[in-house]
Parts: sequence; structure tokens; C-alpha cells
Amino acid sequence: MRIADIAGTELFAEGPRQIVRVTLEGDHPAEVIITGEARGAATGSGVVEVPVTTERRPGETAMITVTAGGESRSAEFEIAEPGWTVWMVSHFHYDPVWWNTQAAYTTTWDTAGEAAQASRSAFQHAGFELVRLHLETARREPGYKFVLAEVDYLKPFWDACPEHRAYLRRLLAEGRVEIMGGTYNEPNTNLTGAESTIRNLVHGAGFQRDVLGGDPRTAWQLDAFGHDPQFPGLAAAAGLTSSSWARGPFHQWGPMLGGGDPRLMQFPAEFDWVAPSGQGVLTHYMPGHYSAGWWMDSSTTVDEAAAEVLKWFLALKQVAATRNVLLPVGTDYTPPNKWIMDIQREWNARYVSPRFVCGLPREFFAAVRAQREAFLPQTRDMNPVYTGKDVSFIDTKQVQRRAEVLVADAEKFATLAAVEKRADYPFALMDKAWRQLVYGAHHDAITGSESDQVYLDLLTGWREAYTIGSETLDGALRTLSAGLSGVVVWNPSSWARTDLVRARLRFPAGWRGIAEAALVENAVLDDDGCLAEADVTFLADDVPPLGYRTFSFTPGGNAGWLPAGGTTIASAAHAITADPSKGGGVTSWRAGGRELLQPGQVGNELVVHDEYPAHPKFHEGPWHLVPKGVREGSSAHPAEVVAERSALGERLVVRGGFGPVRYVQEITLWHGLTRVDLVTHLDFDGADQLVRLRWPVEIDQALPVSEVGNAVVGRGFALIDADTADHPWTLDNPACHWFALSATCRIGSRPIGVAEIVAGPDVPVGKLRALAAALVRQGVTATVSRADGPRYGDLAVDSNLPDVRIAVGETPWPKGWHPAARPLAEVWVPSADLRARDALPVLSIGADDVDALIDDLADAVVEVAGETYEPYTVGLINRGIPGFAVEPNGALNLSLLRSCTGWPSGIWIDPPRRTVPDGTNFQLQHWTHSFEYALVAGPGDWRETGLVREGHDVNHPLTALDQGVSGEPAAASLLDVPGSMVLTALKPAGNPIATGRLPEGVTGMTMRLYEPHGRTADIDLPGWRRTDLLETRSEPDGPVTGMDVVTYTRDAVGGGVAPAAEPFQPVFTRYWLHNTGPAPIGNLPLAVHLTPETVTVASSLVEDRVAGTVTLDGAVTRDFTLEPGAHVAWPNEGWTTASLKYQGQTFEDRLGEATLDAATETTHVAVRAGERSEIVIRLTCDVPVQAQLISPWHTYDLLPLWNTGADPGTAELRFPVVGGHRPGKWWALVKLAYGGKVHYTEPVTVEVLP
Amino acid sequence: MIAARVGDEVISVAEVDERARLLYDGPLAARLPHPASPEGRNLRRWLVQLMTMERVVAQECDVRGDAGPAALSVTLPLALRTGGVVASVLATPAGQALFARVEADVPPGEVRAYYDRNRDRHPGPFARESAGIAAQLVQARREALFARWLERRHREKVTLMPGFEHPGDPRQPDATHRH
Repeated sequence: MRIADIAGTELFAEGPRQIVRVTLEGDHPAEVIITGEARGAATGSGVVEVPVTTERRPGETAMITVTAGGESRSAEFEIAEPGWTVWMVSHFHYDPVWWNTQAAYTTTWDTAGEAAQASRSAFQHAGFELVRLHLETARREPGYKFVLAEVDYLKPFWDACPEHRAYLRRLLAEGRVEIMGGTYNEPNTNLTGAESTIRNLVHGAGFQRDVLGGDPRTAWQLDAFGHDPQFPGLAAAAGLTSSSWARGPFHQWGPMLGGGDPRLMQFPAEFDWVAPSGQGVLTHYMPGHYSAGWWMDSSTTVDEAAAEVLKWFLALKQVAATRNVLLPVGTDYTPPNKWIMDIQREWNARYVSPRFVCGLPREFFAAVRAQREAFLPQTRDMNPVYTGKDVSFIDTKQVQRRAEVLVADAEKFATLAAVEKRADYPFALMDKAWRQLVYGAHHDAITGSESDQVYLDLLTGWREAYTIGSETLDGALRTLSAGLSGVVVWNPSSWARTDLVRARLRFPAGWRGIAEAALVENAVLDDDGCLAEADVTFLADDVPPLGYRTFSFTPGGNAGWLPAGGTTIASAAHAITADPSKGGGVTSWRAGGRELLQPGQVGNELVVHDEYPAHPKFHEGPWHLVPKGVREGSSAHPAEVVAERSALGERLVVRGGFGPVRYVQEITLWHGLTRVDLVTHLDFDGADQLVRLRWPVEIDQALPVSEVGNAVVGRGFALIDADTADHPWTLDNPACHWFALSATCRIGSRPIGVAEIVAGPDVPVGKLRALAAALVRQGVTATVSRADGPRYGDLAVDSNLPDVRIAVGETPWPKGWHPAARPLAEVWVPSADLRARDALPVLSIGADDVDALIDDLADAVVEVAGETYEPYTVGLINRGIPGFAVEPNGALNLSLLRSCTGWPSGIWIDPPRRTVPDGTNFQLQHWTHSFEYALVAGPGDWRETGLVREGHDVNHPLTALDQGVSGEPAAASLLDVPGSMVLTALKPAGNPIATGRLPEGVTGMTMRLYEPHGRTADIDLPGWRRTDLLETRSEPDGPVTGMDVVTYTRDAVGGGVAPAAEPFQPVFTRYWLHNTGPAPIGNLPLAVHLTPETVTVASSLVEDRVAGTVTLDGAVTRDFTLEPGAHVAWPNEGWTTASLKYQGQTFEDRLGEATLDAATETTHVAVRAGERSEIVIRLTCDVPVQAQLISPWHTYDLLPLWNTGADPGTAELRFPVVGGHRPGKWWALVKLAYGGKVHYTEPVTVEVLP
Repeated sequence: MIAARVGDEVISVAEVDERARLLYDGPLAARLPHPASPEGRNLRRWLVQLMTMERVVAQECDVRGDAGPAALSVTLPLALRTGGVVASVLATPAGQALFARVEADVPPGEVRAYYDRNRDRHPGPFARESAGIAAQLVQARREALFARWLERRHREKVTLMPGFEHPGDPRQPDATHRH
């Protein structure tokens, strides 16, 4: 007998008594006795676990003597802390689309094409099967608890499998299932406007709470590639109290990537996540990722699995804020873990701490709250993660921005039309449009990380939102313009505007031009050579907020652009010169007499960066920017530059080409406007390349500033020229409407943007929260760390870097303002580590000085004696081109386009595989693109240069209605909004369809506003009541604090309900099999489903009783009456179709095989401006065919008909092609969906000839 | 060159290559990842999982005098479609022969408890429902035991050579839990 080893553990037996492990050599059992500062005894052989009692405190060391079989040995061990719980949360992460299709992920993965199996893990299942597997486990295991989340599978499952409703309701009542999220899906909130995020919450909470009966409290954003800074505030405003997710503050796989140490985190995993609005939610960051606990599934014994859980406990407890660890047990599409219940049973029979409990996030959060009152506040920017997301499939980001704007503007004016003119409101259409935007905001959709087939499927969603938005806006403005004459210009902004407007006008006989300042283009002339119709652009002066002004013209001479000679253009605000020998790049840009470009550098330059197909180490392609450090710019090649002038302004037109790009750029200065309007048209034929557009401006000390969702924050410089094999993170970021080089806040002469607040032990958490909130209100995000903990600023772990430290209380820095050892640009290098004490400037204050600093921050300037600074701002506004990078030297870069061949580029599930007509993957983007952007420059910070309004206006253009070229003057504003606020939504009060109710007409209006500049606004809105984001509870009125997002509602008498239906009927009930996104128009309040065994009709209504009739095989009928939330089932007597008419639509489910033959008449269509042609598809099918033409952004006017279908039999589908004025080469194909199958026709080249 | 050892037997790289060649010459070819890509190498790793599992089953059948290895034909798509390699083994005659030997019992109290908890599914009197419930619980238990037994035997018998690790092994160089 020999004592081989003595070791303390973190385990406790009943008592609680800490377990000391004593390893004995020899086979015979022996009694092991421990004496000394800890005492206990146990008998055994091999490894003997001896529970001991002690008076020593956790963290202290106990000296002991161990005696066994006559031998005695002294040892010491550390006293551990009992009372820990590991909450094993059984979950599955679910992407409704990614490399595989919506159909496969929802139900048909097992039978989908072989490509759907090639990248599948053995344990993965489709959504319906997953829900069933978890429900079955719950039936067998009374202690089994699990979570469900996304509406993407919950809604179809609720409708198609109503037999599970009662059991699911029971599990909810018993507290065994938690419905997570309060969101529709896991959106990438940093790539959409805040209003899309709000609707995600409205639809998520509406379905999960009202329809399903859950109680979502935790935003469950597991996989989202970073988060919009305002998200925690919006979540709080939607009634959520917590959030949890795996990506944001650190690189994509977290601090534990490659065996990394979680103790590098500067704050515990549980923290108070605070938005620029000052609101926030308690958050659990998953340091071990959302899959951490899943992998024990491959253990072969329960002990091995328990050891795996213990390993995670020991790692994660180091960064837990309380004695609770959340261990996510699940990964993508996983069934219940094999061992989770055995572990709970067997482990807890042996040990009382740590307990391993199969539990729910709400139990975890309740336990966390019970042990601690206050958590460190973090306003840290949870970005960037996966920089490729900002630019891959750039066309989808452009169309989503445009659709989002159109839907929001359509909603505003349709609401005003309903109230002002008693027009019926298109509830169902607008609801569908928002659901399409919400669906497309998913982190494998708007991010461009999807496969080629999924990309095509997603395009139909954005096109539908765009179509509904533009048609509804047009209809509403027509209603509102009734009785007005002349050209009626409508302003969707909540402030008066003077801006350009474009309209297609028809002219009376005899007009050869317009007398007033205008641009007349693309004219159609009558037989006398006079204007019949033309595109007319003019400067609409002083159009009232959310209102109109009419404009009247007289015949005259103004026409289009005329050659001006030279290569310089000028307006009152700017002078710009381009150089043909430098690719047409801008060699001088002067504003207010100041040269803005760096000497010897050119602006508006196109730069092509070579990339890897996928990262050499991480193997990540479309969602990760992977430049090789090799770039080529347009300035090295000659180009043609032409200056032109018109009655409205001057412009430069640049034509050039090099490498994989051929380009046409227009730079326009308009008289009467202070911004520079630009567009770059691009034809691209490269592979694994990134095209950036570069403006190397020079502003001393200025830092990058980025608009985000309803807020503005500072963001660090990017490192875009390093080889990502060695330096994997470029630090690109997504901007909402604009980014700039500016000063969002400053200390003395030093602009600041991203801070580390280093807190001494003497500073209460409440004060830290107030300081962090005051900073972020001025755009300075902050990581709040402890003086004795790790520092923020190491690119090996942190996803972004700070540029200043604010030390509060007892810290190593003497009180005062300490400059950095070296300039920021010198330390901001690839793989930077800015943790050194003097790497950044430090403002060190006492704990008692916090309130004074907060007061000082109200004007975004912390005064320092003897230091002055004159801020200057250059801003770059984008129209759906979010990716940006500001180099440490001040060069602004906009990411235009990217081609990536890395997986899942080109993946195709339902053969035959389709490509761009030249045979390349769609991900490579080989077609004509147009990128619109604008520049703003001026003295002062971004607030003073008016960037918020300018960015909003560029994205929300004025709309003109032709009510005759001449008319009576008139102007009015239809809604009063305080001038200090930005209105982002105006809608009918309530969210009936999202919450399972039938709309009954407009009975009120709701508007959403935000304060954009970080200033407190006293606003007076008589008749309006403050409400929460979901409009379910009233909120106290009061001043609106800086960057807060607020909702107001009021009663109003308005119109009724405008009917709406899908363009093609019947609507296939299992819509997900057609990969068409969210549920059809109306959101399927009543769903009919057919299986070989049963016919079911299920209601998702929460208040209404509904009666109807199901028709089976067109002959037999079954009548039903359903109470709210109820369903009915009949045995299937051999029927293969079931249909149901409801609310003017016919819904149909269908069993059995269907066959389709389809042929495309010609695969190349070329037209000139004004010419028409057609894409003709001939098809034969034995079931109804839904036919959707798919084509990229910028072709919607060219291909105006897209959403149609054909009845069973032989049909010819004709899609018109209408030649426009912008030459280019695009593609189109038609998705044919029939009885749950999909076929994509051969791609057609669609060319507009010059 | 050896890809894996299974008990006293070896699976050679040539055998793996041959199995892969059949796949790449077959109808799936166009949709399989390039063999030199990380995905292609992971496909080979799956094949090795499949082949080692076949060998384990064959050896167990020999030991027990059950149906010979000829009765076993596991295919990759089947494996992936039926919830993994174990499930695909279960779908073969040899796997079924082994599965037939797995015994499990469920205590009567558990049957009664299941009945009490799931009356929505079992509305009849306990006497009429209990046999069906017991059969269903026994089947689920047997499947779990079989899977655990087979995976344990696989673990005990199989040694994978570098380059042929389990595709889900986070330590292997092509492991990409992509997100």
C-alpha cells in the first residue's frame, strides 16, 4: 500500500464536504483517514474520494495528513467553494436557411438531394423532426427540460402538426420548455435598420407569447455575427429582461478558441449590456460558444460525459459572475443529448456541488439574479464578427436597404391616407412585407453566407417586400394627392427638406424644354419633335415634413447634361478635380477653401484586394474577409474623364477599367445642395477578390465614427492590407446610413471613440453604469473592467480595440490626463496589443469625480486646460453598401463588392444546378452593379455637419407624383414631429396580425422616434401617449434622453381593412417547401394540412372563432368551427388534395408525386432603351405551379413582372423585358414551385445595349 | 499505409481510397467535395468511420456466430440519412442480428409513470395500454443500449491514424464547426 497522490477537487459531497482525491497503489481496499485542518475518512481502492470538513475559508489552503494502510503523508490543498450549479440547457441552434434550403431545414433534409447530405453531420435533423425528438424525450424523461426558439420552424410546426399543441402547452404550463428569444429569428441586427429589428421583436414576441402561449424573456441570439449597439435597449423596450449569445466582444469562436483562456475576458460572462439609449438587459455571453456542452454526446460512458461537463465547469466558473454556469447542450440541428439525463441522475447522487442540472435559461437567470444585485455595465460594441458579412452578396444588402426604406415610407403614407382620407389600410400586405424583411435579416441571409440556391430563394423575399412597398407607397400618395395639381412632391422625412427629386412627367403639346432650372432626360418626343414624356429632375425647395409641396413648370429651354470641358467641377460648396492619368481618380477635393485629400493620393479610387477562397486556418469563406495583403488600384491605369454641366449642377463622368473591373463613375455637384452625389457602375469578372472604393482624406486626429441602428458610435481603424493568414482580423465594420472621420467626443485636443473604463474597487457599479451610459450617449462605447483584472485591447482575443482609457477610483494611474507614449496610428497595427499602461491616453479620476465627468460629457467635450481642437468631419453616406474600413492614415474605404469561391459558394441542393450565364457561382457577382453614395464635409463634428439627416434623406428620396406639369401652388405637413427627433416609423396602432388577431381597421396611429445627437429633448406631443415597443403597456411620459428610441400612440379614426391575396392561387400550405420564406399573405391564421392519415385544420387566431369548409379532392366537403387556437382532424379517406377558402384566398395542401417539364425559349435577351422583349417559359405540370422570376437588384424596372403562376396543364409564361437607360448585363431565371418541389429554369442573359 | 486498426485487423489507406473511388465514380460524383479540400478529407474520415464500424460489427458477429459480414452493407447516404453510423448499422441484417441480442427491461413503475404522464396518447385503461407502452419504452431503451455498446466497442477496438480522425474531432486539422 502506497499513497501515490493527494489532490483537492472542486467537488462536494453531502454536507457540503469538499472531496479530496487520494490515489492508492495496490489492489486491496483501505480506509483513508484525513486529519489536520480538514478531516474526513473513506474506504476504497485506487482513487478514493474522501469528503472532508474544515473551518478554513474558500481560497485558503488546508494542511492535512493522510493515513492509509499504515502509510502517512502530509499534503495541502485549496479550499473550494460549494454551492455551484451547472445549468445544462438543452437546445438546438436552427438556421432556417444557410448552405441548405428552407425546405430541407424545415422538414425534408432526409429526402433532399445528395448535396444536402454531403455537409451534414450525422446527428443533424430537420426542424420538425427535432421538435418531435425533444418532445418524445420529454415524454419519457419527466425531468427533461429544453428550449425552443425560432418562429421559422415553430409556426410551420404549430400549423402542420397541431396534434402536438396540447402537449407543448402542457410542457409550457409545467415549466419544462422555455420559448426563447422574443424575436422571429436570430437576425444580424447590424446589417438592417433598427425598425427591422423592432419588427423582428414584434413578430417574435407576438407569435411566441400570444399565439403559442410562451413567455419569452431572453433574447437568444446564439449565432448572430455581432449585434447592433441599440439591440439590448430595444430588447428591454420589448419586455425582455435578458439576452444570451456566443459572438460579439471577442473573435468568432470566443476567447477559448484553440484552447484559449477565458480569463482573458475583461468582464464576467454575466453583465449588464447597455445600449446607447441607456436601456439594457442582463446578458450571459457564452465563452465556450453555444455548442460547448454538446460534444459530450460522443462520450461512450456516463462517467466520460460527466467528466466533459466537469471540464467545462472548471473552465467557465473562472468567468462566472455568480456560482452559476450556463452550459449550452446542443449545436446546429441537434436532437436531445444522449447523456444529459443520465448525468443529472448519476452525478447529483454523488455530489452536491457543483450540481449538474438539466435546466432552462430562465432558471439560470433567476439563480444569477438571486446571488447578485448589480452587474458590470458594458456598452462595448459587440462587433466586428465575420467581416465578410458586410459585403458578400452585396446586391442583397442593396435591395434590403431599398426595400426596408420603401416599406417604412409606404407604411407612413398609407397610415396618413387611412387617417386623412379614410382609405382602407393594407394590413396583410404590409405585414407580409415586414415579415419578408425580418426573415431576410437572418444571420445566414442578409450576411451573404448562404449557398447559391438559397441566395436565389432569398431574392424573391426582398423583391416581394420591395414590390409591396413601392406599390403601397404609390397608392397612398395617389390617395393623398387627390385634388392637388402640378407635380406633387412628397417628403417622407420628419423635417422640411430642399432636395432633388426625379419624376417621369408627361407634357402637353408644344413643350421643347422647361424654363425653370431642371434636368430633362430620356425624353420621348412627339411627331412635332416636342416632349411627350421625360425624366425630369429638379430641386424641390422647402417641402414640409411628412407632407408635400406642389411645383409648376413653364415651357422653356432647359434640357440635359452638356459638355463643359476640363476635368474640374465646382459648386458653392465644393471644387473637385479628377485626373485621367490616374484612373479618373480625384486629385483635389476642396470644401470651403480646405483641401481634404492627402497629398499625392487620389479619391474615389477603386482598389481590388486579392483574397483567399477561405481562411487558411479557420476555413471560413463568404462570411470572413480574407485578403492576402495584395492590392491593385485604378489610379495606376489611365481612364477617360468628361466634365458636364446642366441647369442643376456640374458633374464628372469617368470611364475606365483594370484587372477584373470595368467602371463608369459619376461625381455630381448640385447647386443648392451641400453634399456630393456619387455613383460607381461596375462590371466585374474576377474571383476571390474584394473591391473597395477609397477616399484618402486628411483630418488631424479624427477617428472613425459609424451610424448604427438609431444611434452613432465611434469605431476603430481597420487594418486592411495585412495578410489575413497571419493577421486574421481586418476590423471592417457595417455602418447604417453613413460612416465618417470625425470626433464623436473628445478629451481636450484628443478625439475619442472607444473606451476602456478601468474601475477601482472603490467605485460602485451604479456609478460605472451612469458613466458608461453618459459616454455611449456621446458615441463612445466602453468596456468596463476592473483595475486588478485583464486589460482590453489585444487583437488576439478582443474583436475590437479601444483608443482611450478612463481610470476611475483606485487604479495604478495618478489622477489627471496622461497622453499616450506614441501616436495612435503607430500602435494601431496588425495583431495590435494595446494593453500596455501607456499605449493609450488615460484620463484618471477619483470615484467622487464621476458625476462631474458625466456633466462634462453632456456636450461631448471634456475640457482640458491648455488644449484646444477644431473638429472637422468628412462623412460617406451609402445606399445599402454597409461595409466600411477607415485606415489608420485616415483613408475612408467603402466595400463595394466581393467574389468568394469558398464553401458554400456554388452549393446547390435541388438539381439541376444553376450558375450565372458565364458558368460561375452567383457568389462571384459577375454582372453589372451600381453603387450609390454621397460625401458630406464641413467644420464641426458629425452632429454639426448634419450627417444624420443627410444620411436619412439620401436613403429616403423625395417622391414626385405627376398631376400635370403645371398646377396650383399648395403645401402642407400631415404630421407634427419635434424637430430634434427622427421619425423612423408611422403605422396603424397595434400589431394585430403579428399577435394572432384579425385586423379590424385603423383606430389609431403609432410613431417611433429617436433622439439622434445624444442630447436630452423635451418634447410636447399633445394627444399622443408614450407606449412600449410592442404597444402593449403604457410608459411614463417625460423628456427623451439622448439616443433613446421611443414609441408614441394616439387614437384616430381611420379607414378599414384593404383585402390582399398572394398573386398566385391556390396558395400551397406547406409554403416552406417552396423556399419562399415566411408564411403567405395573411400569415395563415387558418392552416389546412393533409397527410396520408389525416386532414387537419388548425387555427392560430387568439380571439376569433372561425367557421369554414374544407374541400377534399374537389368533391367531398367537411365543415368546421374552430375556437381560438383549436384544431380539427378527420381521417384521410384516400384524398390527395385538401383546400380551404379563407379571407379571399384558396389554401391547398397536396400529397403525391408531381411532374414538371419546363423549357426556356431563348437564353439571351438584348434590348435597347425603350425596346421591349420577353422571357418565355413553356411548361407542363400536373399540379398548380407558382412561378417567380428571379433577377438581381437593379433589374426590377427591366423585368417588371415576377410573381405569377400557372394552372395544371400546359402553359406559356411570358415575362416582359423593358429596356431602360442604364446599359449593362444581368441574368434572370424562373423558380417553378409545384406541389412542394422546386425547379429553377436555365439562366437567361438579359442585356441592355448602350 | 494504415488508416485505422480494428482489433487485430487493419484498414489500409488503399482500401479507403478504393471506397472513395467508388463514391467519386458513382452518381454522386458531381456533388461531392473536391478530394483535396477540407470537406473532401472529412468525407474520407466519414468513410473510415463507416468502414471501422462495419469491421467492428463483423468481428462481433464472428465472435457470436451471427450473420457474416457479407450481410452488412452500409452506405454513406444511408448513414447520413438515418441519424449516423450506428443507425445505419442498425438498418443492416448484421446489425439487426446483433441488435436482436440486446436485452433491456423497463420496471413496471416506469411504465405506469409513463402512462400517467402521457394520458393524451394513452386514453384507455392502464391494463389495455401498458403492454404497448412497455414495448415502446423497451425498444427505445434497447436502441440506446445498442448505440452505447457499439460506440464503446468501436472506441475499444479502433485506433485511427493521423489524417483519419473522427470528422467531428475538434483537434483534427480540417475540423470546422463553421457556425
